[in-house]
Amino acid sequence: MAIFSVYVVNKAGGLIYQLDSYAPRAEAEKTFSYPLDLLLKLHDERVLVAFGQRDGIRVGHAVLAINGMDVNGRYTADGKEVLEYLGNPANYPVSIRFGRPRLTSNEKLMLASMFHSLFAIGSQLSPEQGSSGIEMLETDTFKLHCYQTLTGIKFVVLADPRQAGIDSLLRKIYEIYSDFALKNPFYSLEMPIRACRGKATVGWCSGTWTLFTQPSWTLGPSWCGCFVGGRRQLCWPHKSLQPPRRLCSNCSAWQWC
Amino acid sequence: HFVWGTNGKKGLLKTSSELFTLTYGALVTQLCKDYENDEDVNKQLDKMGFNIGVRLIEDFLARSNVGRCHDFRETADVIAKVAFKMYLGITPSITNWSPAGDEFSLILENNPLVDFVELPDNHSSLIYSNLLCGVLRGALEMVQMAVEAKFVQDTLKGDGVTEIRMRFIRRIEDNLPAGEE
Repeated sequence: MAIFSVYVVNKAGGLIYQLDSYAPRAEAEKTFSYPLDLLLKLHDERVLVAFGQRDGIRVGHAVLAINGMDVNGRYTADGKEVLEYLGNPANYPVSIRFGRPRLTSNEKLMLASMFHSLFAIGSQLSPEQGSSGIEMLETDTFKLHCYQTLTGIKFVVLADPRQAGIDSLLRKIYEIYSDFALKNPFYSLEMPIRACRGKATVGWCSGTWTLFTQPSWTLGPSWCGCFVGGRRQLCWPHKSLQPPRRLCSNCSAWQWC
Repeated sequence: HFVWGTNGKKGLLKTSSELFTLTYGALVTQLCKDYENDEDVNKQLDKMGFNIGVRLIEDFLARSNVGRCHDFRETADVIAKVAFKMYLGITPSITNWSPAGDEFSLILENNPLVDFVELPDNHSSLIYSNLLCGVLRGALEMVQMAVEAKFVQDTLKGDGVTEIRMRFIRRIEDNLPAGEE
């Protein structure tokens, strides 16, 4: 997926909406026997690999699951400490899943408000008056694009560095925000936006950005947000396909959830 | 008859203005029943308009792509030629600028809210379309402009045209978006 994440930040710097739409990162699940040849350490309430890289397990990867059960920070699903559990030879052989730790919602909130502050600093550093603020932040693995509206809301999109057309995507997201969030009379301004029922992903379909929304994984029709031709198109999820996919009726292409 | 409006979809969609006029009328009459006092109804309409305005501005900015206005004259132009056209399908004219350039009048030849409406005698101080004043006030407040909008002429009260007087009070300096100082 070329778009990795979308963040919407309100006037005060608070994150009001966040969407991650990338495929699950490389995760490695391996069976180990005692003793464990990786060195693990506890960091920030997570168990990370400190040393010992092999087979797709890299330094910095976190323990995501033990024997198929997701761990809860530094504790296993049963409440035992992970490091203690893995130090006991009686628990082996054990199957552990490693992967890049995902950002928690709190971390995302912090990053959003930090970006908001950096954005303000960026505008102040400008040699000319009335700077637009940070529009793009480029790295080798992603490009961050930002659009600040006249009312102070920021739309931030993280995308593949080679992905084009993000400016029109930002404008489209602004339109979608003004529709789905603001036209709901029960939505209070500047408050977090409750995600629409089910998953929403943003994608490129037939020359335009579209919002794919799906109520839940049902066999019935759902609405693909294709705006081409001024009308929303029906879209049929196919139950037998894994991972779940949607058929965009606008272009008849199978789109991944 | 029909009026052009946006309906959350790309492009314009025809909606019946009759339903809009009837809905607004039902709203005002219900408020009159609830509050029994014209002044309170006017205040409520202004408040409701304000809440609509703070949301409508984002829709307006997202769809119309206008940039920031640098003075009150530009603002007046955008309000009359773009915003009113987009949402009510009418283009009021801008007149009566004050010497300091901080007040102007919007003259509405026809007001879609008041089609078929006649004010009864016991509601002589009711400002029927006061919602519009609230909308203007709310929308401009979100782009850092504090303004005052009020009706000075109203076809419902026997005047020839409907006139809204807009006055610029001040620029709102707190919570400015970055880069706008």
